[in-house]
Amino acid sequence: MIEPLCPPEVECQSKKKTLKLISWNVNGLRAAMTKDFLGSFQKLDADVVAIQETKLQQAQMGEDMRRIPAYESYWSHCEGKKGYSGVGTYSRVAPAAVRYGIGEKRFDAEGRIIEMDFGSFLFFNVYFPTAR
Amino acid sequence: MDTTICRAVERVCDGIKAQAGSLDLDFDSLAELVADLKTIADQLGSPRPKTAVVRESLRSLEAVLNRFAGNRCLADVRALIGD
Repeated sequence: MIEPLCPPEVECQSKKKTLKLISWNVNGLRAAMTKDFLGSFQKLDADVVAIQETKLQQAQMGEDMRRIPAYESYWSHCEGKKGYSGVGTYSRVAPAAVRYGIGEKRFDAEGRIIEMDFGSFLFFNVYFPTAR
Repeated sequence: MDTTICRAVERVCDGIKAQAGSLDLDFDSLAELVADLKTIADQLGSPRPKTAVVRESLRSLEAVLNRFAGNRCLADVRALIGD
């Protein structure tokens, strides 16, 4: 059965307000781009998308990766090894602050953490190292 | 909606997006603001954007921004609504 719309003078309170937050290990963003990453991205219709294992350096980033319409993007790349680790976060709105890393050089140089402060909540995009 | 108006709406929405995280909104207000921005972006991407839908979304944005004093986008939103 289809429920009728709320009358115009009444604000509809039937749905809890939510944000759609997605975490996705892309296992190489350049490879994912050849497999319709952008199409899947649009279908997700998310408000924040955190991707891990971008396996990119700054110089390898294309504008199509950086600028997806209606989204801001933030990146942390591995400084040493090429094609390793790396995280990126797309967001419909800009956070109040963005922090990269945790202040621990051996992890921070590997592009593993982006922390975004949206005022009412913190969003962490983390690519954890394997337990060795 | 003609192209000039669409661009003006887009510019104002970009301004709101850029400062959304700094507005100190509670979670529900932030979610509401994001939903309104999304509705407007969807309309602007449509071959025939519906003025009524965009206007109502702008009114909703105005209501959210109005709860947080000193917001510099509020005047722009009100100018677009034209009240």
